[in-house]
Amino acid sequence: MGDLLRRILEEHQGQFVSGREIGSRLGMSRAAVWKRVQSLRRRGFGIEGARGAGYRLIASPDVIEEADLISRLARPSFWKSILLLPVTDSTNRRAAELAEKGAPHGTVVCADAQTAGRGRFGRRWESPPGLNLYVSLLLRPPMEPLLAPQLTLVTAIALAKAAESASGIPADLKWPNDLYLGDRKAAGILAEMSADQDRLRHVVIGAGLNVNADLADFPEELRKTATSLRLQAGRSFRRVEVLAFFLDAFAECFDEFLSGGFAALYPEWKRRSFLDGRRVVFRYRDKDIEGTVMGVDENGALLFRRLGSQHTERLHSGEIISFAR
Amino acid sequence: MNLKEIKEILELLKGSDVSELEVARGENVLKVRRGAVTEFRPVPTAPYPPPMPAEEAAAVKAPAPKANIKEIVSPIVGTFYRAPAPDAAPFVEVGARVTKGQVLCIVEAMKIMNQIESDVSGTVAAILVENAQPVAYGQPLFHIALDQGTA
Repeated sequence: MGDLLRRILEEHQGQFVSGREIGSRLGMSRAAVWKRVQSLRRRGFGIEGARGAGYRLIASPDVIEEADLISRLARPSFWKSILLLPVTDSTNRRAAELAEKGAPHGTVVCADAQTAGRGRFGRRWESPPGLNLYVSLLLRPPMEPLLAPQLTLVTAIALAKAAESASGIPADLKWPNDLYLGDRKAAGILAEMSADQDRLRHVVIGAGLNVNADLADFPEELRKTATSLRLQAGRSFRRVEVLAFFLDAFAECFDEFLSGGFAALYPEWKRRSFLDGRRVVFRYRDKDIEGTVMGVDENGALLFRRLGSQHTERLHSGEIISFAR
Repeated sequence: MNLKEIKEILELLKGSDVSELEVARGENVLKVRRGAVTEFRPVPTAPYPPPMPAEEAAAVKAPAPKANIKEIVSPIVGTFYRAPAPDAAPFVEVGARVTKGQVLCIVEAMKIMNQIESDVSGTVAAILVENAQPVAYGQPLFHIALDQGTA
């Protein structure tokens, strides 16, 4: 019923439709029409009502609907289960819970908003409703636990491909898993795995990609370093479209990784690794070390050369906290 | 222990599903571990920065687990964390009771957080690595004293 009203409003393309006309088409009183309008407004539609003129649609919410998403996927069979939530505490937490209950490899959890979006070590990830993508993938890869950390790089590559396909803007990567558009961070990844030495039980990879966020949507301290697809491209995006690009790119990268290891994706990483050869500050265990990024090795470890050293080190932990812009 | 004896022990293991074995004859100790380890080339490097000699020594000197002790080892090369966040309490302390499936620590590598769970119930007998230190693949992290009768 709400969808019929929505269609009538959409037909009029922002022009007013009288309450009487809507009422007669829906076979209901004008008071009942008003109730339907209220209900659509609660779902995020912007509907202007004017006495004597009726109603007109001024904004539609950017909703992700499952059927729409699946119809856009090139490889829908990769994904066994897709859960779309209006709001949740954290998509990673939901995915981990599903994993404990036996959810299959290829489960997707996506939320319009997160109330407790997380980064690493309990850091907060800003997750306002309706603007961005907050999505977690549950995987049960048939591989050694030793290799699983490389999945963060694989996911970052998929995210870069998706952002680039959707926006046409070149997407860069910063080791091990940050997506940069024009020297600003547009996405982060939080991956968690459950494994003992011999067996990888599951991996949950959460990605937060800023899609339609405006600078004002970011907290003050991030406004100089964060960005979104919209800020870079100067237009809005349908999130379902970006999500479909990401799920397809991930399925492709994941299969390449399974058959050829990280080596198969190495050229793609190298092409996008924008800090290669640049001076950076690397932080490990509260120590900041200046040096140069030399690239990554075939296992995805960072190759780093300290200032004044001739020796290249392989790093598995820590992060690049700043770089020469 | 001579080569022939070692060969015999290895032959015996072939037909069994034993994954780890330690045989002591006087001063000689033979340790055998089978399975996943040999299939992939372990990454020999430790995370940044390379461990100080003292740290390496500490890892080597860790007491060998006794029969009623389960050793929990790191499944990846990474950094060892005893708590979920810098300002949070550690998952476990020495002397704590743990149940099977309980999280003992996090090992992080390339921003993937690996929650290491205890695969046995018992008591934390030793924590072999300090917080925020690099760990190697297969490095012992915890000794868990098994509950009586469950070993």
